[in-house]
Amino acid sequence: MEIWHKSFRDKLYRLALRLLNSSDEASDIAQEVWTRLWQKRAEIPKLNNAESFAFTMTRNLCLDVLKSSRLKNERLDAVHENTFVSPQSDSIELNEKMALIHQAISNLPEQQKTVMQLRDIEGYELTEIAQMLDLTQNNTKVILCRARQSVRQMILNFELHEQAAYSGFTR
Amino acid sequence: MNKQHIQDLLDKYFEGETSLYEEKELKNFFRKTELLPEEWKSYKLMFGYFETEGMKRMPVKNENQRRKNFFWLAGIGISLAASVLILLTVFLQPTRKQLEPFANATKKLEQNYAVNPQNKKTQPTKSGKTQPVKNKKLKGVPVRKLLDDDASNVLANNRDHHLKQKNFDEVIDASLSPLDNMKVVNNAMDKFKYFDLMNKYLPDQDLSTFTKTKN
Repeated sequence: MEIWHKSFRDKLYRLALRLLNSSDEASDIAQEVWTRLWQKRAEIPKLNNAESFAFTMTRNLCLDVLKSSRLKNERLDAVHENTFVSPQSDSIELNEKMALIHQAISNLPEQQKTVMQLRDIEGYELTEIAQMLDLTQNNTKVILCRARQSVRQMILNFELHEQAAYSGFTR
Repeated sequence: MNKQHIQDLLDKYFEGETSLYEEKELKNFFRKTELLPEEWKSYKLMFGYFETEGMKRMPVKNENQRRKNFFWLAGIGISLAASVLILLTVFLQPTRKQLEPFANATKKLEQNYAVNPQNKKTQPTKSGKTQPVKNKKLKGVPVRKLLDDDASNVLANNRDHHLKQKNFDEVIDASLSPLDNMKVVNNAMDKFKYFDLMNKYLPDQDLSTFTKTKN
């Protein structure tokens, strides 16, 4: 089964990382889901889609963590531990823009973040994502559309701002 | 790939209408082409971000750290257990005073059960070759008598052994004398057995009627 491959655990890790912004917590949760799946491996053939089950479990665990930390008021001003570092680019400007995109996605509401992660990064079909989030396909599409547009808007706003700053600097 | 096609795909993309295949097309296009119009440059970054994010892997370091921690804890636990064991063996060793009665008892047993060294010398040996000097001296004596003598020796030894056995039993009896009281108690308890039986077969009410009718 495909889900026993380590690359699948990495997918769970990436979703948890997107939602929690903490590598330690994300790998804890990915490992937890992984082991729970292994314990329930006898029941898995009965499930329609073990993959989406795993993603649902990961997301729910992440939401639990977020809820409990929100109660502690820890995450109100979350500092991002994982600032994006592009492997190819060595120019600071490029890294800054990548960090901006990262920031734009992490400012999205949780649902939009999850849908965008599953669609644009992991490449799942809308029907699968709808199953994972327990939504209708239309709803999922609307959420995805909103996520993409607001990311674009944030990038465009930043560029406008930057242009203004640049022109101001040259004057 | 012409510009209009890409623009159409981008429009569809931001409406959420593109298929996975079309999105792959977009990603490929933006990865491969370096010279782009100004308005598309940030899209190149965005699709690049998606692709690099998709290659992130779960750090293995975490697991190793946990394993290290586990071994460390296990080491501490083992050393603690060992030190406790050592302390226990040192402090719970019986003192000489506590061991004295046992030592006395074993001494007594040894004294009473010790083998007489004289008997050992006279004990018959079956093999003649090991004692050739003896055989020369007893040349004239018939074999049968020799055997008889041996037999008498054995008997004497056995008698001695029997005596020793008796002595040994006495020692044991003496050591068990405190238990004699228990015999008395046991005898007393035996008598209670009958009360049990009476209670079983002759309940109180019936007992009175039984005695009356008998009278």
